[in-house]
Amino acid sequence: MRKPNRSRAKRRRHALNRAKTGISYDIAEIAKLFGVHRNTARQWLREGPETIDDRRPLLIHGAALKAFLAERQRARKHVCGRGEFFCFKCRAPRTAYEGMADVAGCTAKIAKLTAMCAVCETEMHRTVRRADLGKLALVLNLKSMASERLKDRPEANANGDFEKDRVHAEIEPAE
Amino acid sequence: MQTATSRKTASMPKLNPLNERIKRDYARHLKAAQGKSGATVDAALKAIARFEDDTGGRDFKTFRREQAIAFKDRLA
Repeated sequence: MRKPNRSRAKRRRHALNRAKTGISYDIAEIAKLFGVHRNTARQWLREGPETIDDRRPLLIHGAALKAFLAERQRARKHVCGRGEFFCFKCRAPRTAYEGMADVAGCTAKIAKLTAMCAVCETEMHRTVRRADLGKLALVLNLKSMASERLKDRPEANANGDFEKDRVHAEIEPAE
Repeated sequence: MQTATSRKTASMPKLNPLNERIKRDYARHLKAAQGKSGATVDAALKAIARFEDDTGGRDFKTFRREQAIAFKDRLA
């Protein structure tokens, strides 16, 4: 029988509403609350929130803990401006290389943009609403790309089982 | 940078560490010894916090009956 997976997920965002603002927590309680290791909770303590006093067990007030984690999570968050993409190599919002971006179809409402980072030339992606493409066209040079899906392609598939495809293959043999 | 949550911390009355430890022990007693539910413990802590707020975070060791009576009068 497989053992249940008890490994802790490496989360970057925690459910802050689990911490109650009116009570104090010790290290073990914080670890249990957020599903992190005790050493992680100790590390948090070294980084920021003040303990209520110097006595043991060290206690942190819930409000202070919540404020510390909220600030930490906010600092990690990047907001891309219009026409900007998040570059995973630079780990920062970047503009597109020479302002060029490819638009690939996705659904009737959303489109996927692909561009190169102006700094490191890494491929960057961003999903936008189709309705916003007009506004984006003011800051980006958008170029529509063919769909990657077979069913959207205009040319018939010669290997298909459909009669019309066979006819198409006979008219234009592969040779 | 001051945030919504940190502002909340700043506006909170000053914590009395000794009271915090007493409240913590009492919450443990309610939960572990008396088998009360989490909601009951929360309600008890909330009521204690109200009283503590009323006395301005004064040490629980200096508790006198007059404090409780005055608190009840203010609640009424």
